[in-house]
Amino acid sequence: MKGLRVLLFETPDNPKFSLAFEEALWRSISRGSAPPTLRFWRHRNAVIVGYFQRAEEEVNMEVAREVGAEVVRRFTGGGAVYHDLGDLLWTVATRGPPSGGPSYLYGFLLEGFVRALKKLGFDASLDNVNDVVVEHLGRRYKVSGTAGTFAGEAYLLHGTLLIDTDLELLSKILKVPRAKLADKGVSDVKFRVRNLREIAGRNVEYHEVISAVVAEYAKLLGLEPYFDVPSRAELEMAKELYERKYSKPEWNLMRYPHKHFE
Amino acid sequence: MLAPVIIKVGRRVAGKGAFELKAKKGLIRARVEVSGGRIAAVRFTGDFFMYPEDAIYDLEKVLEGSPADPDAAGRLLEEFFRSRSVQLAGSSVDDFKKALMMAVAEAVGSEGAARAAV
Repeated sequence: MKGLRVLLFETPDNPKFSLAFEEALWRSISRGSAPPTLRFWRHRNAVIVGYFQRAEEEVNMEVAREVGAEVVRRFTGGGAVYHDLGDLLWTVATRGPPSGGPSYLYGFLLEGFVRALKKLGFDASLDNVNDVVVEHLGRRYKVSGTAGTFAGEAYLLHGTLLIDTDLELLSKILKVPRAKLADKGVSDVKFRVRNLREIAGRNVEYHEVISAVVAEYAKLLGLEPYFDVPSRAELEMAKELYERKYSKPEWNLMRYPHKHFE
Repeated sequence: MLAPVIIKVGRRVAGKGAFELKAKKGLIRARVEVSGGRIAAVRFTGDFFMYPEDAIYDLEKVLEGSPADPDAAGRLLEEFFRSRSVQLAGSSVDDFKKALMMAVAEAVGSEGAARAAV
């Protein structure tokens, strides 16, 4: 049986490097030089915007400055998220079918994460393409947002998991576009999201979540999990991507394409 | 009372338009600048999903320099999606088309107003 590499690799105080490493992982998978991988990571205080977003349209930059949150852009689409240590980030990157497309990402792969939450006792389900919601006392709360990419047979899906995040700060630091508010019929982002600890009414420990996610992805992909550190090549690539792309304001704030940094 | 002349003589007369559209999943924001009857710049931003991602820059390039006409721009966008294997998740070609056409219409209107003021 082939293996599922599990990386507990994070640089919480350097979100720019952390996202550079994420792209290095994606490149390794696309090139076929890395095994199927699960990564768990966190940031201490950061706002991450999607590839198609311009930071100033999504982030209250003044609030970000005040609280010292770094604003970093990722290479996948989707929306802006606020990360602190109470938000567990997870990534699954693997080879898959040649034309699985978005449904392999947000259908097949995301289902593994939903199953992990169910195993932990939450009434979890997929919602609106790429969100994970948990039903609690008759209401549905978003606990995880995801984004992914694919090329050929390579797939990468990454997401958040609100365990114990500062939702007050989250709602202050992210701008919610008016068109979105009208659609959801709610006035504040914090009313739609909730921490797992609050839903569970107990401490949800990181190790419980990690164990459940590892077990479910091992089952879903039919692979035997093993713990590892990133390869030397991945770390070198991450350093290079950090230096020429992720450390640059043109990348993080201006929506420039990848080719601008090559 | 005379209307204030907002565009100085010698400066490029340009019109700007923007439209924000909420798709099933994701927000599509189109910003358009027109000048001399042509689309000078287009930017699509938002939290949508497009694969491959960099197709968005190709689409903007195709639109730039084309006639500043909502219908023509809409047709060009449709043709782009037809001829390329671009995939969307949570939004449709029509969503992008509508956002673009509304932004172009606004930009054309504002260019007209700017010209009238010169």
